[in-house]
Amino acid sequence: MKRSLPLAIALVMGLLMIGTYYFPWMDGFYRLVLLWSPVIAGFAFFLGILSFLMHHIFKVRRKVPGWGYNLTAILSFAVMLLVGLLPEIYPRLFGFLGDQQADPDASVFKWLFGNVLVPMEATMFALLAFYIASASFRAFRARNLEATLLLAAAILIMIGRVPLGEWIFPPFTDIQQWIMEFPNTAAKRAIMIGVGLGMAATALKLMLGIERAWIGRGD
Amino acid sequence: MRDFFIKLSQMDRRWVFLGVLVLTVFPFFVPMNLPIVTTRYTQLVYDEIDSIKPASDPDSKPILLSMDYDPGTLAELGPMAKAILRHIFARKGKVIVISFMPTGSALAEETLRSVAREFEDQGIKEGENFAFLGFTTPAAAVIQSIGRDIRDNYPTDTRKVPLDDMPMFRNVHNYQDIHIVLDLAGNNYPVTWISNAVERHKARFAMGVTNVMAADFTPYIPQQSHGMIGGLRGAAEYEAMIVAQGYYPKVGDAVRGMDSQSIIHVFIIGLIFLGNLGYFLGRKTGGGR
Repeated sequence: MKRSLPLAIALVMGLLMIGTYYFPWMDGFYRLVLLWSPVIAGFAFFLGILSFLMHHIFKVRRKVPGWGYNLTAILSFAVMLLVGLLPEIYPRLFGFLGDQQADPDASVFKWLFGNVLVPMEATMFALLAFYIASASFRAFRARNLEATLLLAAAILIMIGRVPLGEWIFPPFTDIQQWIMEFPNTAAKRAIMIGVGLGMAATALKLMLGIERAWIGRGD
Repeated sequence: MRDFFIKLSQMDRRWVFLGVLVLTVFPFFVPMNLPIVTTRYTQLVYDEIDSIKPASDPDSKPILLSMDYDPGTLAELGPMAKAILRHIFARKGKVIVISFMPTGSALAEETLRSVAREFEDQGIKEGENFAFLGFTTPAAAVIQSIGRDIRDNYPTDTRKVPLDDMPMFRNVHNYQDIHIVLDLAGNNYPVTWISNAVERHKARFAMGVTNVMAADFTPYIPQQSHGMIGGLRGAAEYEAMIVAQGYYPKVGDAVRGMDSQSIIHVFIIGLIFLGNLGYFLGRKTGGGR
């Protein structure tokens, strides 16, 4: 039952959703499913939070190496949750912070978001520039014909995408545009068609119960 | 000489890091003012937005701007969003802003409101020219539901004002009432839009993506996407165009950032050349890596 019920739901819902694409009289059902989706996504958020907390609490309790980072993650979660929720639920109690909704400058949540999360995430992404520069210096070698072609295409794209390249040699922009529009598009479309067929096959396998990994192990 | 180049090609990577740092910062103090030439894909998006009618026109349709980026890609997509919003507001058009990124929604709202404040004295008002509907999930279902009626998933804006109480939503229900959907994304959401809005509901669509993702989305132009603004370069092109057409007095962060990007690209090409030079010279002596 634990396995056959999810499989039956997957088959019925899969068939119904395919049906909504071809039969206009199924519009009412289609609309209903679209309204269910955000509710289901809400449960997914809840599961995500639960999984996050269980993972980090387990590590803190066992004091595994680096457990301080896990504790930081839990505390950060708790702080953001509290400063986000409490002023909304008890606006009078937290009135000393100012109008959290109307005045963006007064919102502690927005302040933490803008001054902690945004710079941290931007810093993580900015580090990529350093590592890409280092990696291309150390690993991008013209070892054979394929690697040489890749190298040449990469250099033409890189130089053609910046104004300095155009200033050095104006046709660089047109060359990079041609590479993007023709060889890149041809290769990408071939890959996309393959991926599309693979997705359709996987969807069928899920609906027909051939692929069962998603329900996990059990009776 | 050969040994010198071989040694240079094996230098400590911290020198590379230092080079990247210095060359990124340098142009902010000494601008190069390189000319920005518009590419075809950016021009296509610009033309789409330039054809919107002012909100006072009864036939005016809003642009649906989905700002699906987070702080990691803010440097590229933030200037793009600002340039597009300035263009829309300068033309007195209407824009509906949404986001499918939990960490992107706050960025989207801040960008929208800061640009709207710039145009306050020109009569740009919330509810008449712009609306912020906030974060909702899951993207695929919400995108499809807009094909039925935008009110299904967004009954109110983030201020809890019903859509029906805002003049800009009069006669706006689904994609047929929207001028164009524009997705600014640092992820795969343009494909979600194309699958669920373009293919299923015949929505008109264009996108702005990061530079590294531009290659992934080129195959969708022009059939499924009417154009594409690619990375900081595309944003710089857009900024330069709205200044050239008199919509805004000065260029922004994207044009300034292009100087750094130009130098860094040339620096990396130089490093690749140096690395390969050392590789070939070393191979001849049996020491190439």
